[in-house]
Parts: sequence; structure tokens; C-alpha cells
Amino acid sequence: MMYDLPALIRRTTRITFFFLSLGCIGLAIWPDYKPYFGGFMIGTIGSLLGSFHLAWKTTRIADLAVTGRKSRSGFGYLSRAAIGVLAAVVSVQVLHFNLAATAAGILASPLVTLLLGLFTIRRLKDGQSNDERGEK
Amino acid sequence: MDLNTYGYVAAGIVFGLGALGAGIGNGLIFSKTVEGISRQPELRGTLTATAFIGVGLVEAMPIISLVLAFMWAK
Repeated sequence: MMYDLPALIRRTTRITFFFLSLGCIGLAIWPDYKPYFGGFMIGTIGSLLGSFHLAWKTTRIADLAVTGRKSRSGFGYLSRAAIGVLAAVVSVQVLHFNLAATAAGILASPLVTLLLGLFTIRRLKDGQSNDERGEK
Repeated sequence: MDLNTYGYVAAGIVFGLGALGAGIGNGLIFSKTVEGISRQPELRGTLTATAFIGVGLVEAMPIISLVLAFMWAK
């Protein structure tokens, strides 16, 4: 079965790296727009780190649900919010990039995850294969 | 109150309401996920992936609101 979390994370990482490479290319071609491309890249890196953290937390909560152990761990929202704020502060205060571009970058990884999830659900409904090896 | 004070109040309201929505949304998503995994442990992969998608979307907006609130309130 391919509709699982590690596969989703791998694909999200791949597509987010694609966005990062687009930002690098834009930075190289249009140096005048450095605040926008740079802010977008910093935000994208922050959102990717947040996605990794969220995947770790989700796996941990699923483990706890399966084993039936009781734990007082939270969902890690504060940590992810701190990652976002850190990305924004580094981008705007330290590197003097654009704030709106940074916010757009922070939104990149969740949007990629949403689109991948919707495509995967549609493919599974159609009964098509969902990975390169023909497995479902 | 001067304009800066209004800015701080607005930033607090923005982040507070965003965090409230995220808290309610996360709680609903994870409670249903844990309930589903407890009932059918073999569906764990599907349920965690669905929860990941949902929580990622729910949390994107409050994080952005937090960033904007910090920047506007400076």
C-alpha cells in the first residue's frame, strides 16, 4: 500500500526541493528580485522543516494509539510556530528579504501536501497504480 | 491609545483567533485519527497520512498569522 506517511513525506520533499530550485534559478536570472526569491526560499525551508516535525509527531501519536500507552505529549504546534517565526525573523530582520514572499514560502509545503493527498485519493478511487513499481 | 498600541492589540487578536481555530481543528483531527487507529490498527498508514494532510492545512494559516502578527507589531 502506497498511501502512507513516509511516501507522502518523500514526495512532498521532492516537490518542495523543486520549488527551492526554481527559487535558486530565479535568483540567478533576476538578481533585482532577490528579496522576493530569497524570502520565498527561506519560507519554503521553514515549512519543510515544519512538515518533517509534523510527520514525526503524527507517527508518534499513531504509535501511542496502537500500543495503548498513555503519554502527555502534545501535537508540537508551538514548535512549528516557532520554526515559522524563526524563518520569518531570519528572512526579514537578518537577511532583509520580503515578508509577503516569506509567508508565501511558509504556505508552500502544506499546499504541496494537500495537492498530493487529493491526487492520491483520486487515483486510489480510480483503481490506478500509485507508484513507480505498479503497486497500489 | 496611539496607533502602535492598536497594532499590538490587532496582532494579539490575529494570533489568538488563529491559534484558537488551529487548536480546535487539531483536536478534532487527532481525536478521530486515534479513534480510527484504535478501532482498525491495519488502517494506520491511511489514517496517519490523512491526519498529516489535514493538520498541515489547519496549521498553515495560524503560523502565517503568527508571522504577520510579529512583523506588524514591531
